[in-house]
Order: sequence, then C-alpha cells, then structure tokens
Amino acid sequence: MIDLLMVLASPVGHITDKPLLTNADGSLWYISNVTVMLVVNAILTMLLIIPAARRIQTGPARSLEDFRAQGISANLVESVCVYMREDVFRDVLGDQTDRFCPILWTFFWYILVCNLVGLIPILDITAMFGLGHHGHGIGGTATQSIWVTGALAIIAFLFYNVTAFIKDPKSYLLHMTGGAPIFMWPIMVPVEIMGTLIKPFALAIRLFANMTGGHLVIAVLLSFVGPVIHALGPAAGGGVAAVSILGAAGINMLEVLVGFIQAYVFTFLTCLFLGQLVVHEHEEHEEHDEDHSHGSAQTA
Amino acid sequence: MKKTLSLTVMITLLTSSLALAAEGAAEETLFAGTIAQSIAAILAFSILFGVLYKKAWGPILSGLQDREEKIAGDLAQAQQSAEDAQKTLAEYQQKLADAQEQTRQLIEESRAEAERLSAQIKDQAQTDVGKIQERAQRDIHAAKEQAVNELYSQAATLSTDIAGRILKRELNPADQQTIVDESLNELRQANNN
Repeated sequence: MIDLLMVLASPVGHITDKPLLTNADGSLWYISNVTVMLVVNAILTMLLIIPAARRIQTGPARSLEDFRAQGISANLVESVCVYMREDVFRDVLGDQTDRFCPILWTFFWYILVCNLVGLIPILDITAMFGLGHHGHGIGGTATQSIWVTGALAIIAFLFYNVTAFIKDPKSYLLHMTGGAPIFMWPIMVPVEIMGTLIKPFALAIRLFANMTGGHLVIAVLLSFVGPVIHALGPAAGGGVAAVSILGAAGINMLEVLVGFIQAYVFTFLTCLFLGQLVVHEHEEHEEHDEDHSHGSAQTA
Repeated sequence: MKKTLSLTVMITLLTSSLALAAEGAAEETLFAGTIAQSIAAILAFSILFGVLYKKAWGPILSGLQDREEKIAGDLAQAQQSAEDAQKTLAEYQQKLADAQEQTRQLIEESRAEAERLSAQIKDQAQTDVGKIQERAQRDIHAAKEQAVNELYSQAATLSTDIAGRILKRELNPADQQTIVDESLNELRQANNN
C-alpha cells in the first residue's frame, strides 16, 4: 500500500515546477523550469510567427501571387489569425477589431505554444541526461503554473480595464453601476467590482486547472508502469503497464485538443471582457443605424 | 467536467498519499513557484508582444487589409464589368433586332419588287405573245390567201391549158387572163359561201 501511495505521490512532483537557481533560503526562484520554458516558448512563437508574417505580407509587385500567403507555416498562421479575427474578435469588437488584434493574437499564440510544447517530454529527456534540479530535468508546461497563468490573467485584466478607462472614463465608471438606477448603486457597484476582480481569477484558474488535470492523469498513468512491473512481474505487470501506456497516449492526444481549446478560451474571454467595456451599446446602435442608412441609400 | 473530476480525484489521492508518503514528497504542491515566475511571465509576454507587434502583427494586418481591399476592389470591378457587359449585350441585342427588322423589311421589299417585276414581265410576255400570235395569224392568213391565190392561179392556168388543148385552140393571154379572173371570182364567191 505504501508503495502504491509512493507511486501516486510522485506524479505531482513530476509535473510541478522545479527551481534551477534560487536565493539563499530558497524562497525566491530566480530561474525555474517554467522560467526556461517561458523564454523557449516565446522564442518558438517568434520563430513561427515572424517568418510567416513576411510571407503573409503583401508583396511589392502587388500581383495576384503577392496577395497570397506563401508556404505551409504562413498559411497555418494566417488561417488561425483570420479565423480569430473574423469569427471571434469581430463579432465582439466590431470596427475596433484590428486595433486589438495584436495583443489578442499574442495571447492566443503564446498560450497555444506553451500548451503544445508542454506535451513534448523534454523534462524526461533532459532528466535522462541528469540535467535540472537534482536530475529532475528541464522542461514542462509553462501554463501549468498558477504563477504564470495568474500573470497572464493580470496582463489581460490590466489590458482591458486600462484600455476601457482611457477610451471613455465616464462610460467605464458607469459600467460599474451595471446600468441600474441610483438607489441600486450601493448594491450594484460592489457586485460589479467583485465581478471585475473575479474575471482574472477565472481566467487564471481555468487555464491552470485544465492544463494540470490532463498532465496529472498522464503522469499517474505512466508512473504505474515501473512499479507495477516490479511488483507483479513481467507478464501481469506488463499487461497493466501496456494499458497504462495506451491510456496515457490517448489522454496525450486529448491534451492536444485541450491545448487549442484553452488557448482559444483564454483569448475569447479576454476579448469578451474587453468588448463589454469598450464597445458600448450606443455605438452599436450608431453602427447599426449607419449600416441601415447605408443599405437604404444603396437600395435607393 | 471530466478534467475537473479527474483533477479533484487526483488531488484527493495525492493529498492523502502525501501525508503518508516519504518526507521529501511532502513539499511537492501543484502551486509550486514564486513571484519570480509571474514576473518572468509578464516580461516574456511583454517582450514577445513588443517584438511581434513590430515584426509580425503589422505586416499580417496590413496583408489581410490589402487583400480585403483587393478582393472588394476586384468584386466592385467585376460587378461594374458585368453591368457594362450587360449593357453592351443589350445594345448588341438591340442592334441585332434592328438589323433583323431591316433585313425583314428588305426581304419584304425585295419580294414585293420581285412580285411586281414578275407580274410586269408576265403581263409583257402575255402582251408579246398576243401580238406574236396575232401577227402569226395574220401572216398565216396572208400566206394562206397567197397560197390559195397561187393555187387558184395555177389551177386556172392549168385548167386553161387543159381547156385550150381540149378546144384545140390557143387562147391569147388576154382571153386567158379574163377566164382566170372570172374563175377566181367564182371561186371566191363559192369559198365565201
């Protein structure tokens, strides 16, 4: 029983962040696995996006070919960016979409790269070479750390609140009343403030929990392999180990999907929170009226 | 939901196991890390955003906008071309219809002219035929008369010769002419009767 509990205890240690460089008492991790992966993932994101951007950009001759994205990576990046811009952001942000596309795209691609790179067992490979904290390896999923997802959520929180406040302070403050009559403000204002503060927590916890959950299941399934073979012998233990490995492979495939979904959800919710603050109802009506009058003029 | 359930089960098991497991494992927590990792995340994201904003998002956005403008322009141009083509087609159809009408009129006029000429030629031919017929009849009649006269003359001469021979005497030309004329008159009268 104790052996089994030891097996179950180790997966958490396997997936959690490990310090690589700390202060004297170890209370501050200057560099950790997550820190390394944050930098690696940022570089990978740049290496994916920047060359693709050059191929998406309109060519100098402005011929028909110059308007077309050239190459597989450029088409991949473009298709995702166009989808996010047209089918996600534009529905929420309207004519302000292009203004906020850069930061929202950055959220999506960075979180996606962090999620997907985290599925590659770099940690285990480097551990085989005795690298990292007490030979624990270097790697892991950056978005599996609540410190990272919290930081990303804080960036999103500051981004949409500051943007909305700078754009229209009066509307921003009125938004805090929830559109309720004045006598309801003592109730509505605290509720709205709480709602505003809870949103980044929701962003951070959702990403952290989803990425951790899958990884933990994989780690648990894989951690069965060695001890079970050792305890039950090659025949029976091998059968159980095979089931564990197959299960881990299946969950790993599911994690690829989860990686995409969570990057999308984080970006979509950030866009939605931004849209609630910067796209005001009267602007929508004005836009609608303009469209309507434009349409009427065209009909006429 | 599945993930959350899995996470909850795992956390429960791990919490229990951590209490019973080896001393070293007691420090392991899902929330491992320090504020340094948050600062690193903020720095990494900020630098990434700055670099991508300058090197990638601008070109991508301008590329997409250029393409939208190009597509919108091409669509407008195509629509204009289609309208022009429609207009040109209508003009050509009108011209074709006019040409067909003119052709029809020309054919009608030609047919009427042909019919008129045909009738004229027919009339002329009929007139000519009538004249020819009349002349032919006249000629035939004249020839007939002449032939009859010659016949009478020869018959008279022959008769006279025969009569003279019968009578054994010679008739002088004056008697002969007298006899011929008398015979002719008698013959004409008999013919008229």
